[in-house]
Amino acid sequence: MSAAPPTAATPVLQVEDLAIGFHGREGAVRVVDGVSFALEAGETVALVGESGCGKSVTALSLLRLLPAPAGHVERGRILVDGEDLAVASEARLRTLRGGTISMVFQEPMTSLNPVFPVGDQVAEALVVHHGLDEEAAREAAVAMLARVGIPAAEARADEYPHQLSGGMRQRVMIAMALACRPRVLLADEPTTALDVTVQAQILALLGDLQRELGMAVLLITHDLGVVAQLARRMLVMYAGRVVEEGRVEDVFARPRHPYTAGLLRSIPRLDRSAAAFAPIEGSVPDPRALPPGCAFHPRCAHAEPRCRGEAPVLAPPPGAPRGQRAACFVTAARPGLELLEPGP
Amino acid sequence: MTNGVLDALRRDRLARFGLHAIAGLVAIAVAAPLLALDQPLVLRTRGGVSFPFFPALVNRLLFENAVDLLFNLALLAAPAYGLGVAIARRRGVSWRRVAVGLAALQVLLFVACLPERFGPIANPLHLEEPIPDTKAEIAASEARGEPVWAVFPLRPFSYRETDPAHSVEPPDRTHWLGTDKEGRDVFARMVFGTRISLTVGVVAVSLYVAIGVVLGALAGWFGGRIDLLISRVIEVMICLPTFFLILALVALVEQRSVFHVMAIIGVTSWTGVARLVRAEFLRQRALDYVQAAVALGIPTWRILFLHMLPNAMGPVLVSATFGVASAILVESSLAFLGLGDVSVASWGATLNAGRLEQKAWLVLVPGFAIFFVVSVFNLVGEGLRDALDPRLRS
Repeated sequence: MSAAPPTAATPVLQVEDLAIGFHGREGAVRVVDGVSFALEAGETVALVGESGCGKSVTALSLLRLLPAPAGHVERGRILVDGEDLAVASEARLRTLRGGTISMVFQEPMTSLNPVFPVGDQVAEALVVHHGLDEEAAREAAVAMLARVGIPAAEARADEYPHQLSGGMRQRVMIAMALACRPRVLLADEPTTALDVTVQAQILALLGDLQRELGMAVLLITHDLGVVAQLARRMLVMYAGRVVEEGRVEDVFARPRHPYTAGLLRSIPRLDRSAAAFAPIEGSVPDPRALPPGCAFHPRCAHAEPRCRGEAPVLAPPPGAPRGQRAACFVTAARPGLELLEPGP
Repeated sequence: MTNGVLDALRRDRLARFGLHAIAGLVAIAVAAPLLALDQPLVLRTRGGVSFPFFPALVNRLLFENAVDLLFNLALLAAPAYGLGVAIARRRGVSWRRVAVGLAALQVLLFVACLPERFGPIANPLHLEEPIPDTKAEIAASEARGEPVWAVFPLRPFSYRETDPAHSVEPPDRTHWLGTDKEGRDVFARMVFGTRISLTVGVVAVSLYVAIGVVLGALAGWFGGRIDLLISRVIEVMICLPTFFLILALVALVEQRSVFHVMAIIGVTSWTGVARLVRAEFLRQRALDYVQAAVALGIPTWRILFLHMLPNAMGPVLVSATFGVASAILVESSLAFLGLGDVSVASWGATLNAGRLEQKAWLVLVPGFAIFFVVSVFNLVGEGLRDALDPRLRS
C-alpha cells in the first residue's frame, strides 16, 4: 500500500458540499450542510466542535454508516482516490471500509466484540480484505498487536476484551482499523474515554503509525489539546456547517470566527488571567429550529443586525494567513478585531 | 459461552445433577442394544463361534428406524471415538474442538447411510438378513443334548419381539418391567424409548432454533418491511394453539414416522426463539462493536451469524433446553393419543398401552420416565438461566 505515495497535490479524501439529512416523525432535518474539505496523504486534519454540531455524523457518513433508514446523504460527493462513496454500491463499500478507509471509535470498552479473543478480531479484517488464510492472518494480527504497543502480543491475542484495560482495548481497535493499511483513518474521539496519561500514549502511537503508513487522518474531537498535539489543519464546525478552517497554529494564534475564539477561551490556561477563561454561553441550537442568518448569532458577543438576516459563507478574511477561512461578517468587515482579547 | 457461565452451572447442584442425568440417558440410549437385545454377543455351538449381535445392529428388519441406526452406529464406533478423544486430549486439543469433531464424525457416518426416502421406515440400510431366532436355536440344540454357550445382552429381549403366550404379564425375574399386550418386554421398550425421546427433543428443537434464529436475525437486523412481515407471521403463529396445530398436521400425514413428528414440532414451535433473537439483534444493532464490524467492511452474513449470534445465544440456549423438555412431552402426548410412529418404542405409546390394559406398571414406568427426563432438562434450563443472569452471579 505504501508503494504508491500520491503527490501532495492530489487529496486522498475529498468531500464536496456534503449535506446530511435525517427524517423522523417530525419531518426531515438537515444536520450537516455544505461541508467541504480535503485530506492529503500523510496529513492530519482535525474536525472540532461541540457535541451535536455534526462532526460525528460527518465521519459516519464518509463510510456511509449513517443509521439507516433515517439518515442519508442528501447532497455532495465523498471522493476517495477519485471514487464517489456517496453513490458506491454496498458491495464496493464493503471492500473500501476497513481496506481503504477505516475508523476508530470513541468507546474502546464497547467497540470490541465481547465473545471473541482480540487476536481473532484483528485477524478477521485481514481474512476478509486480503484473503489471508487463518494462520497467516493470525501471524499478521499478532504482529499488528505488537506494533500498536501491546506487550506479549502472542499471548494477549488469545485474551478476551474484558481481560484488557481501556488503553489496551483502544490499541486493539487501532490495530483492527489499521490491519489492512488503509489510506484514510477516521478517528472519532479516539482518546476521550481514556485516562490522561493513556491519552498521550495513544496520540503518540497514532502519530507514529500515520508517519509509518503515510495515511491521512481525520481526527474528530472536541479537545483542542489533542488538536494542538496531532493535527496540521483544523476545521471548526458549528450547527452542521464549517465556520472556520486553517492551519492549526494560525487558528490558535488568531481565530477569525467568534465561535472558534469562544472554544479557545473555554480552555482554562495557567498563563492567562482568570478573566480570559470564558465558556460560551448557551448551547448548540436544535437542528430542527436553527436561528435565521448566522446560526451562532444568539450566542455571539459581536453579533450585528446583519448576522440575523443573512448567512455568511466561508471566505478568507482580509489579512489572514494562507488557507485560513472563516464564515463571519464581523471579522470580514473589521480586520483589526482581536477576538481572543477578553471582552470589556 | 464463557467459562464463568460454565463454572456457575457447575456450582448449581440441581443443574449438575440434571447434566449428569442427561449424560446417563445418552449413555443408556447409545448402549441400549447391550441392555436388551435378543441376539447373543457370542454364540458357540457345535458349528463354531459366531457373533450375531453385531450384524443385527445394522439389520433393517431388526431396527427399522433411522433413529436406532444413528445410535447403533454410535455404539459400533464408540471404541474408535474413545480412542480418538484420548489421542486428541493427549495432543492438547481443546474440549470444544473434540466435541465438535466427534459430532461431525457421527453426522458424517450417519449421512453416509442417508435415508433414501423419508418414509415410515426410514432405515437406509439394505442389509435385510432374516433375523435368526437364536433363542429357539439354542433351545433346540440344548434339547438335542449339544453343548451351547452364549453371552446375551443384559436382557435377552428385543423391543419388538412379540410373544402372545406372555401377554400383559406383571414384572418378574424374566421380564423386569413386565410385558405389554403383544407380549413385548417393557424393559427393552423403555430402554429403546430413551433414544426416541432424546432424538425427538434434540432434533425438533434444533430445527426450530435454526428457523427461529434465521428469521429473528433477519427481522432484527434489516428492520423495516422485512421485520414487519416476519413479526406478523410470528404473531399469527402465536395465535394458533400449537398442540392442536400439531395434532391437525400429524393427522394429515398418512404414514407417520417419528421424523414427521419431529418436523411438525419443529415448524410449529419456532416463534419464541424468533422473538428472542429479533429483540437481541435489535438491541445489538446499535452497539459499538457491530458498528465497528460494519466499518471494517465485514460482510453482513459474518456480522449476523459470527459477531451477533454468539452474543445472543445465551437466552436462546436457555429456551432451547426448556424446549427439549416440551418437545419430548409433545411426542409422548401424540404417541399416547395413538398419533405417533407405531414402529418406535415411544414412552407415550407404552403409557397408552398401559392405560388401555389398566395395568399399573404399564402406566407408572413410562409415566415416571417422561416425568424424569422432562424434569432433568428443566433443571438444566433453570440452572443455565441463573448462570447467565448477571444479577445472580457473585
